[in-house]
Amino acid sequence: MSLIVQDLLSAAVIAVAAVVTWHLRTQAADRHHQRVRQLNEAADFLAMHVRDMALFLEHPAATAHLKALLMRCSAVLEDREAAERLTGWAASRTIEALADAQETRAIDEELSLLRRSEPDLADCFDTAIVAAVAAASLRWPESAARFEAAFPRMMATPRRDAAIVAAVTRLEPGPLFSVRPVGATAAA
Amino acid sequence: MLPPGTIAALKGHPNEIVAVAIFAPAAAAMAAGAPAWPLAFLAVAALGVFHIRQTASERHNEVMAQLRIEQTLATAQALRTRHGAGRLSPEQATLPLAGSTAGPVSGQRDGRGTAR
Repeated sequence: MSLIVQDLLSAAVIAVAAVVTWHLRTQAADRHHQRVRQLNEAADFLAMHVRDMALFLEHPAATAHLKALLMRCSAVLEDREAAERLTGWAASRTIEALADAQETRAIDEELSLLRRSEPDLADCFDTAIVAAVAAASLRWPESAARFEAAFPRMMATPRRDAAIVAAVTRLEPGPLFSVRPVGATAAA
Repeated sequence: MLPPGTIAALKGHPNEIVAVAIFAPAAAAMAAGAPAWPLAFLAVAALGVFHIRQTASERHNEVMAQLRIEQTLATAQALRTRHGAGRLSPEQATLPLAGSTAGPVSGQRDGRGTAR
């Protein structure tokens, strides 16, 4: 009788171990697959961003101001904190509020002019910006978690490209060089 | 031995296939009269080894994806540098550096917004 009980106990232990291990393994595998998928998508979007940024920067019809804005966005969105704040802003509708800002309207006007004369080039700018935002959002876990809520809202924003550019330039970290008195530097 | 439909349900689920492949023979051996505790220990140990191998493989995939991103970022940075982003103007070049160390040399920023 005790042998039967012992066998049943062993079987129960095996069954419980199997279920728990299966559950933990499946959860871990799902998390990893999701993260790897996000990273691969971020890499694809980044490649798209680089391709269209190159096309835009090489084109003689692109204005120097738009080129500078695109390069600033590209640089700022490499920052983890900036990506996190951008997705936070998008999810909380801060970017929507920026759509009517004066700087947004100015950028949008410049883009509209470009769209009339060089529609393909304006599309390059559009793709480069959207791909940069998507890549930045998916690259880090914190912003990737907000991606689902933030990205559709960003895409539905009026004057989308201009609003995103205006938002991203506000995320720019402080100046690379601070203006300090020369004497202070010499003393330090 | 296995409940009907198990094989069909396992298709495309490698973790579950391994779990069944390990535990089904263990259960069969137990039913045939083999000692239960060593078998249980072996089955759990086999699952542990499988878990470690799978985790390593997943980590490798993650690192490879990160590497792809880093490579593309390097291309983006080269492109920006070629077109003058972050290049110092003549006036800025004479300003003192904000930090005593790790000051930007080329004016090019890295992924954390600091100088590389």
